[in-house]
Amino acid sequence: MFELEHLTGGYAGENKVIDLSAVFHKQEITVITGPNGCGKSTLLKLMVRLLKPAAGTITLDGADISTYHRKEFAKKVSFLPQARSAPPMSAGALVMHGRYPYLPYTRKYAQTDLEAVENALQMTGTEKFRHLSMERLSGGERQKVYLALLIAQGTDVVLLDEPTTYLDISRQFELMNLIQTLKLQGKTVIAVLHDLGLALRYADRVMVMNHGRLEACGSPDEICRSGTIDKVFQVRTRQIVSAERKEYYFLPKAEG
Amino acid sequence: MFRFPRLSGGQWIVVLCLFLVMSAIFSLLLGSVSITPQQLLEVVSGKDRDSSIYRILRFVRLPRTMAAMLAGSALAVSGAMVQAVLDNALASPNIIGINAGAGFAAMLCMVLFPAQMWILPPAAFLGAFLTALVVSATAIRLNTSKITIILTGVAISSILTAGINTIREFYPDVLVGSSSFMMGGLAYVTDDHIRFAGVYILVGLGLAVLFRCEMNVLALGEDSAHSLGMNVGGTRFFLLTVAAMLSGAAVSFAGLLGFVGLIVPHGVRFLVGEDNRSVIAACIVAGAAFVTFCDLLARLLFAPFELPVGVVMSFLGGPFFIKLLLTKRRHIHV
Repeated sequence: MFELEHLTGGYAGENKVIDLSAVFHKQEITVITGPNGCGKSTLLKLMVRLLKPAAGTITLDGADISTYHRKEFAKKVSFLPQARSAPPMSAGALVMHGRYPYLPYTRKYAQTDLEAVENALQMTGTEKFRHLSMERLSGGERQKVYLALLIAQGTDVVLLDEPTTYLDISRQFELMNLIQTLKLQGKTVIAVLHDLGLALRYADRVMVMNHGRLEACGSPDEICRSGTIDKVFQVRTRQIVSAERKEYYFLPKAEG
Repeated sequence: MFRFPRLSGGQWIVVLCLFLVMSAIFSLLLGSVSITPQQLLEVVSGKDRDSSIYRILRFVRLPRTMAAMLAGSALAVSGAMVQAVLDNALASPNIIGINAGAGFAAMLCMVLFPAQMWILPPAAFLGAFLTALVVSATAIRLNTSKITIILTGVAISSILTAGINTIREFYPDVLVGSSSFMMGGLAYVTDDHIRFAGVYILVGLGLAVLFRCEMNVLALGEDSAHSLGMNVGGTRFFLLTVAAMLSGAAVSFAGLLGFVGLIVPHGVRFLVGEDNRSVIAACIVAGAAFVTFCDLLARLLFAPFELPVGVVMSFLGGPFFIKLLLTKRRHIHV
């Protein structure tokens, strides 16, 4: 379980995350959201050790994350960064890299590695792209291949930075359904999402950040009722209660 | 019109190996004195130990062929590594100034310690390494566009080339055939040159092969490589050191052979794909074959006059490279 205590940090000299304490629960989807520049991506980078905290602590399963060996940490936490290029390699080769932390010095893949890759390709429905170059895949296909890499990495905790950006609406749903499957398989998912609708629909817990601080944290319903979203994003939240669930939509703040 | 046949990556490596063997054999046989295959066999089998043919083969052709192969492999692999480390297709040891750094250091040593042959490879390595360090430190500090790395390299390269030219002006006698050094030439290579530099090159090639998987992971981008448990900074630094060692050693005896470090890795990627595991293997073979072949032409085309191999390489490699780019472009659009 991930725990943040009084965490402060960011790029050299500029703390984008300020005094943030939070607990991420196991086998839940936690969505971190907030306006542009609120520090959500920085928070993920601190959690995967791409940045060092200026103050406060981050613990994973009771141990400070800085105490883990690189490869050990990579077996516990996987991360999908925001800037994703299409590296010049086939989709299959890309997913194979998910096994990097498990490889011995000879860099030879064992049977378990190949099985993990196979499973990841099947789960995401990307076996058919295996031999295609990443450059030839569409945005949605690429994103699924990247998710397959994270699945092959076999970690309990999966961190995703804006996984749905640039995807059309049905690809967004597809990807979020896949992420939900991961949760059902027992993984802890922590995702930064811009899209409030998606966030409220898929999250078990929503964290709203503003100016580097944690503004509110709770179930989607609690967050909506608290009015945090209206305040932070300067919108008006509207709720539709349909037969099976609540849906939300947002209106611009009333003028004048 | 010439078309590239469709072969798999492995098949291409076999073809390149055949090309290398052919080039090496012809490089031993042909030159100002032609040697017949029978004469070569007699020397190889040990029957002929003191004829002039033996001496030509042993002290002229063999060192030269070996030098061509070593320099070609070293520069091609170094180029592929620099491109992987800096994640930049335009990077190559000559463009980002690594070769000029090596050349400058080697020149300086020839002036200061003219009799010490063994000092050249380590000095050239140091020159190459320091240049690589400056360029990559700048790249990391700026952390902006890929083109900045190239511009930095070009600036550093031109400073070092100015240094080389200054030495040439003040000590015109220090180097026999300094124009051949500037263009890259193998005409004055001796046993001693290769003995010292060869060790560096073989070690460097070994390390490149060992760490080819790391280069693939780097291609995923810094953040992804990091989250897969790689020490990205350390790996980059190490790979750049190996690349500098390879090109430094090659420059110490072959001069500023530039083009091979850019064109061979790209040509090879076109043939065997982008996976660095095949790219490095293919670069070793193709680099050796290409330089050996060009050196052979350099000797034969205007015999008894000889061109520096770098000149032939540019004349031959340039059009070939453009053809490759055009073919590749068509592939992408289809």
